[in-house]
Amino acid sequence: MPAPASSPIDQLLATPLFADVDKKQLDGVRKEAAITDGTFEWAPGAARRAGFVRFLDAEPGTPIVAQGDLTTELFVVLAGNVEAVQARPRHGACVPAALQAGDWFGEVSAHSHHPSLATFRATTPTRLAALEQRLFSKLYAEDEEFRQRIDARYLDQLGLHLRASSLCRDLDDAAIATLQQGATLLTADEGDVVAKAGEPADAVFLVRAGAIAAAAGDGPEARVLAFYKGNATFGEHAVATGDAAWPATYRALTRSALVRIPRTQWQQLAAPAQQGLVRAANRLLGRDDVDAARQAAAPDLGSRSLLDELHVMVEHESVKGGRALVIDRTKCVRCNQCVESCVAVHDDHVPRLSKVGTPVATDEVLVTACYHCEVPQCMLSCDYAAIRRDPQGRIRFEYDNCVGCAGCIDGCPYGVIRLVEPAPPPPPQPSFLASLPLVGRFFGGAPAPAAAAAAPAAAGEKPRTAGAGGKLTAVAGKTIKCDLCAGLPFEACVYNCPTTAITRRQPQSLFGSGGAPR
Amino acid sequence: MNLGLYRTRFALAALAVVAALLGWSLSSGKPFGSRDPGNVAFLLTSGWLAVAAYVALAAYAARRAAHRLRLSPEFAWKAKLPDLERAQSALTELQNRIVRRELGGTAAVRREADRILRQFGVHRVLAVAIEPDPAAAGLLRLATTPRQPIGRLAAWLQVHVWLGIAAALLVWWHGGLRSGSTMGLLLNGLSLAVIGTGLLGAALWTFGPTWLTRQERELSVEKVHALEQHFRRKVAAAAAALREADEAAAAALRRDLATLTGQQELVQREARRLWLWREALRLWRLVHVPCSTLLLALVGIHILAVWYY
Repeated sequence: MPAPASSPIDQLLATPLFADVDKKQLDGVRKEAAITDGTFEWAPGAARRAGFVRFLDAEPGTPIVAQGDLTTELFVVLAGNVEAVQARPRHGACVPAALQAGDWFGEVSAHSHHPSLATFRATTPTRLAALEQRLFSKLYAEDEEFRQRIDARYLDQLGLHLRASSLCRDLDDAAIATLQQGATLLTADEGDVVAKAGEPADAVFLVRAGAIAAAAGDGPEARVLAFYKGNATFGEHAVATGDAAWPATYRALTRSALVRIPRTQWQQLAAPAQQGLVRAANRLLGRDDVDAARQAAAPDLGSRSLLDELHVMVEHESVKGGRALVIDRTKCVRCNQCVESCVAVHDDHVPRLSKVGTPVATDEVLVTACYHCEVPQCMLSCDYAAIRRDPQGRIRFEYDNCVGCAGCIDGCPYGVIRLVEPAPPPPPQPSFLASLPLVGRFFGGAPAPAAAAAAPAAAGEKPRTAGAGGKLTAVAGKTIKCDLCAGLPFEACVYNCPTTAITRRQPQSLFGSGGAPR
Repeated sequence: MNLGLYRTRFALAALAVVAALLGWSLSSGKPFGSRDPGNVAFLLTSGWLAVAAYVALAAYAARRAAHRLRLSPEFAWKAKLPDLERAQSALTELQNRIVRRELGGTAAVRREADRILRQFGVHRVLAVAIEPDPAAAGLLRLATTPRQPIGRLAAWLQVHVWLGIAAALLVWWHGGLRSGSTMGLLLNGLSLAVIGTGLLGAALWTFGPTWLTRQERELSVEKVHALEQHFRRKVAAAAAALREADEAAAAALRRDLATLTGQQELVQREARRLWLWREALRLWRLVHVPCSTLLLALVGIHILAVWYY
């Protein structure tokens, strides 16, 4: 229980999470909080932005984060109590954790961009601090004390994550506790081999953050068979089938964090739990790497083209997207209605849609629109808190904070963000009478000589905005990308295509399974 | 081949009306367009139905234009982003309640989802689909989609195609293709032009995209444009280098420039060819749209004339 402190930021820094953390890092947190509450003193001419720490109050019964919401914040309880309620099909609700002042939650989302694993709601009047993902990542990467505490709490609460995984979602609390006891954390850098084909398979891995590719073969002949990202598990066959060896080589595509649960731990489960687990593992294996690896290893590569296409998808990382925008060129009459509709719905009259994309399948083009990535590099590149993820996982720009520095454009690996000239403020609309020809000037239609003289001088200046960030500097430009026609009851390009050539689809539907277009 | 242009339930309704009128005309034993007093009811019915069809046909063009000009009512229903996000968060929590078995039954879930949408003022923007969850027997799954209140343009086009065909038949049975008067000649002529170009357009939009895609498989128009720009830059740079080069280097630079210019011409020729093929897919509209507009105006005059005289 932290000692009572005077201000919220002192309260935050007095929590056990920040004990012994490097003073430089604490100064950084203090500065972010001061930016948020407006007490930070800016150097003259510096671009302002919103801070990465905010404080919020919650009434009893109020959900702070709902299970399934995509949030990127780490929440620290400053006062009051919070309960975690996790819903599971066939198990109803369970309350796996009760949190009090000094505790924290949301580290899985902040670390891996995974949707919230449970609903966290206040049970008493509660005050919380929310650290944005960027600040969390900095602390996690640079301060050993902070990282160890986050990891230790994650292991303590591993049950929350395990219950959300497909493999363990049907296990009872005792079985989850058994697995939790033997679990260890593992970090793999990009390119590191986590498990090698042919070596003994003695554990199941849960991907906590990052991405792992399973490939058959080596070097240029290697074929990517499966792609595991946040919350996925691999190695189930070690449990389900008793296979002794890894069927493929598992390599980290990016810096990845994994949870390793040894086979011995699975073997300690009671018989009914083991049977349930084997059923779950077999269900997963039905569409998983083992079968694919065996097919690839077989002399007759019947599914070779499918594997090639999967490789394209992994190469372009479109698998990260939810629903991809696809143009069927055998239906597209090249009328350009999609682009014109996109222009019509945006006030700056700049289209977000470019029909140039990645050709996949035979005559379909995967349009390079925003994939709303799981690990959005644009967000990580933004120093001004101008990019955030909404509860549904979409990446949104906060134009009040954007200074047009183009950092996100450099960060985006797919080149879907562009910088455009900021739109000039709209001229005042004359009244109907003032707009009439000849007689209009009697109703104030003619420009005043002074205003007319001032106009050219003003035209040379870059526009300024007065948003929540209260930017002091001139805005260099405005970054744009597909915003899914935010707030409108349609997606303009899909809605206005006369031949249904452009659709939103699950990327895997391009290979003929599931994901009906809409 | 894009047969999606024709797949609509509305086709059945249009064909049913047409079949009913044809049956009526044949059973009366009078030729099409007969002005016999016993045929007045048929003339009026087929005439008004044709007018209604023409208005509906024009609505397709109006919907296209209204969207382009932001005059469509949907633009006024735009929801505020924070409201939209709060509503989606509340729907996620509703899904959690379903999973926790605190709420069940499609009707109850529908009521609660509607209440959430109305509470945040986004009921005109979002629609909630409630389906059985394939991953968990007995549970329901919520999925939010844009409401698309007036329907996709593709659906309007399907209706446009079938109503166009129905309207052409109605005009034929109504007037009997008589060309005794200037008005009759104009109405029938324009009707034929409109349905002819319309059918041509439908055929081009059915088979054209596949054919065009085959032509563009090696090099699409977008890539050709990029190549054109590339060669323009290269030729300009080579020409500038040639202007500043001495006699010794000029000969080699001239050869380079000639090669580049030759390649540029090839790309330009390819660009023209692809552009012409693309244009061919919409040339029919040059006749179809003006003729339709004129036909609508003449139909109005025809109604007034019949009413007056």
